[in-house]
Amino acid sequence: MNNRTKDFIWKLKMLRKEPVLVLLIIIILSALTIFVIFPLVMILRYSITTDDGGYSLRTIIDVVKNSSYRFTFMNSLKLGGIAAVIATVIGYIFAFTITRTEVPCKGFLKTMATLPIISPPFVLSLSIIFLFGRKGLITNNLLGITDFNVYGMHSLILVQSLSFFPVAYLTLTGILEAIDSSVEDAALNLGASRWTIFWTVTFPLSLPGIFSALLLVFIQSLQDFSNPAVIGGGFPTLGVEAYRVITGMYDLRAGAILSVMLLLPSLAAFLLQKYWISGKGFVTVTGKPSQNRTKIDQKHIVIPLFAICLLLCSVIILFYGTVIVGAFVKVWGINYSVTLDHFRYVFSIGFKPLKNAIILALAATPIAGLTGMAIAYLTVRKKFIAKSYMSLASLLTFALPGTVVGISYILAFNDRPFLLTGTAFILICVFVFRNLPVGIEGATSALMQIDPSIEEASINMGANSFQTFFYITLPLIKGAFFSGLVYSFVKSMTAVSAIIFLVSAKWNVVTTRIFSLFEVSQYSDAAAYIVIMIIVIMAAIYILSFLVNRMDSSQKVAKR
Amino acid sequence: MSENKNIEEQIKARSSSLKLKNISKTFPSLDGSGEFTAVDSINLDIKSGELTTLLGPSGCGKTTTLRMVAGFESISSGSLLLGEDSIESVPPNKRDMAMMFQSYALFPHMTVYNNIRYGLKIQKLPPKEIKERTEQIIDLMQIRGLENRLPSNISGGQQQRVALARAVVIEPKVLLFDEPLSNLDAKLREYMRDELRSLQKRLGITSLYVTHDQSEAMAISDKVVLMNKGKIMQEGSPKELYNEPTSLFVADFIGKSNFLDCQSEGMSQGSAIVEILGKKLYLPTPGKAYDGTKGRMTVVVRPESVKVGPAGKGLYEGRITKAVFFGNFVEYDVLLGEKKLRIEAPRPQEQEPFQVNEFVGISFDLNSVRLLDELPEDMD
Repeated sequence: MNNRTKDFIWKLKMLRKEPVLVLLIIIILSALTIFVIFPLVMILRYSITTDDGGYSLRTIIDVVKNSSYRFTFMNSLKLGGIAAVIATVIGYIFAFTITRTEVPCKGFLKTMATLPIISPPFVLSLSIIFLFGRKGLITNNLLGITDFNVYGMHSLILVQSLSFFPVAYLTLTGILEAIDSSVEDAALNLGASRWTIFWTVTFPLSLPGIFSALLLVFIQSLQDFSNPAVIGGGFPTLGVEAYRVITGMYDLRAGAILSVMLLLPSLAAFLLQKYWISGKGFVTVTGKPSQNRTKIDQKHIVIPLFAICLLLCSVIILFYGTVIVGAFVKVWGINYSVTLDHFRYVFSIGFKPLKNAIILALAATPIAGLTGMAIAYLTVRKKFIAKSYMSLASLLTFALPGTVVGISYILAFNDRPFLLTGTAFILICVFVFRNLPVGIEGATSALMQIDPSIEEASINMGANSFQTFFYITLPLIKGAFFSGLVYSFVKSMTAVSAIIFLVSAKWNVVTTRIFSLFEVSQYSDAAAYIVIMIIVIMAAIYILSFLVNRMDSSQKVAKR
Repeated sequence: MSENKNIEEQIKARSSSLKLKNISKTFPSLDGSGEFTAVDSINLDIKSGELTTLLGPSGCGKTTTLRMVAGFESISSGSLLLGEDSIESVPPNKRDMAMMFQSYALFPHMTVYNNIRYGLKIQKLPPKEIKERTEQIIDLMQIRGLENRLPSNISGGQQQRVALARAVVIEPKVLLFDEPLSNLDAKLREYMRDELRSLQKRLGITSLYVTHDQSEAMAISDKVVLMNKGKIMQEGSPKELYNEPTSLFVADFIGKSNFLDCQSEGMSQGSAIVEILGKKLYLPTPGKAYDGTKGRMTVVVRPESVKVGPAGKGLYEGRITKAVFFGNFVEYDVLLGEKKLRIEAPRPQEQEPFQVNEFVGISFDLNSVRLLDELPEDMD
């Protein structure tokens, strides 16, 4: 025991020789405390505080007793559960078809299965209104139905399943690819049919991935604000209710309690996924390059799977295409003549929120990207006090619904010492801390696969931790760095649920602008914004990949 | 050749002695309740320019010792002297040592050239000096032509040379080797081993080398330090360790040995008198470890010290249970009563090797038999 403390003191001493590193650790720890933990404590405290300042569970009991809030809670769970199941089924079909069968245009399928991840919000909701709304192209113009109700749970299920199946697809692809191909080949060799192999080998081995996918989609569905807000109709969900209660009835406490009700299932699903399921995997990663898988090419299996995938792809294309077309027509449903009016509107009086969003995303992206890499590096490779606190606090943000973050930031930063509401700074903070986890997780798993002696060699050559990080570690995990940057930029541009509570007249952003266009039914203006957002996001990804790829070549150039 | 002089002289001049004084390392045990001593009060004195090898089975603490010297692990107690300076609280990047890693740890995203000059760039040396030193070491290591390749595009032997170049170009005071040859195939391993040794001698660089391969240790070391369970079992030149093992562990680990139960009756006229398998024998050189005590103990007989001949001609009678022809020698297993003996007989010139189940006469080269006051069952 004595020696353990000694060892720890030695490590601290070694850290002390690098004061900048210690400073960095302190900065990250305090930033996480102020912007993740402190607001969370505030909202939890606030929800058990009575109006006169005492602590009591009465307000909570009142809300729980309120049957309409209970109904809302059940709605959210029901929607999350159904969307999770459908999205996981779709994700599995895509993942299986792409990893296990011999089908044409795999690149196209992969793109389609990941596209919704980088999509702006409201796209699917908007096109479902365009297609099936009161003046919908299909319901009204083609079929002549006038009383079809597009708003409600059925639409939400469709929209959320299509929006979130990429999460399931990516999780399941990872699992299916990690299953050692020789296991399935062995079953085939023993005389099992493809059908038997699937149910006796592939499916059971992918179960942990299926549970993971279910929980991840469930979390996404619970946290979703934009879709229920615009097409929920008479189907209230927690996030939207919290927003309505706060903005419509000025009841911040009821809103806070509703968002805490949202936090609990989300947090539970996150912890379940993180600590229970991820430990249950059958797959052992050996790091040994696996041989080529024998792909299924029997027609009776491949054709139905391919047909389902194509059908889903065409639905996705139809939805996105509708929005793009919608941006160019005069009045959807009535006058389909082509016009650029909506773009003119966006680039004139509607330009500021777009510009704001880009500026904020550009400010937040490098900070989030580098902080994520630094946290991963510190938690994987270094020893210091409060290390597990750092990794927990930084990953926790993934489990916090945006609604909770938004409300808790109002509670935490509306007063001294942190009077920040209404500033651009607070929006950047939201973007940075909400978008850390993807970069951290990617970098952590990349780091685990890098032989630590490569970094030790650098230290042994005389480099300090900073030089080692920038010359050696960062270039080696640049894949994770890139996806961290992209994710952070895209999510900053497309965020709705948290910032809807935090935007101000001065710092209004494009997504909240689109949301208000929905409320006044200016759908084609919204479509124009969305088209421009898609272009901005694609350009950003292209530029980021160019910059990250330069990281290596700049070193080669430096040689001469 | 003449331009290499420069860096070679520099390296020789900077090489320094290394002392480990009572170095220990304890880890918390896995269940968290107590602790586990990985390295137990080790004392080592490595002279400048010498190559010392830490040899031992896996888990003996040799790598932990090396990593403590490099500064990657903390030292639980004891002190570390580089020349005259105590360095146990100097961070690893300021220790003036260079290490060759088991996996080479070449930076995969940098060319060979950039790998080699990395340490010099970190030291912020003037570009001219960086270039000169890098170029010289490239010639010295004979890796010219590989400068612009990535580590993944060169062979294992070349990677090894690049790793060595990267380590010595910074002119370290001590060079550390962490099983650097274990990733190579057998033939290349032997070749690289000899090359490494000749380079180390030529540069006169103080080296601490870790390996679990006893023949590798014998081939390259000035001094071999055999470790087991965190302790030094014996240290000395390769010859000393082979000829004068002080314990059964050493006799068993260095080379092959037969252990025979015996009854010692003490010394008489310079020879030890022992009774082995019912026969009384005189051992003229029982070994430095034997102090003349009487009682039940063990004799160590190397396989090449057992002589095998036709039945009836020898001290003992045995039956062959295995015979393997290796070309330069024949390996026999002979059953002597209950006891199985391993024998390496020089290649028979005239006669055919003995066959399995054949009865043979067995005798020992008594000059090379050693007596140890220890019993095999005490060994674990």
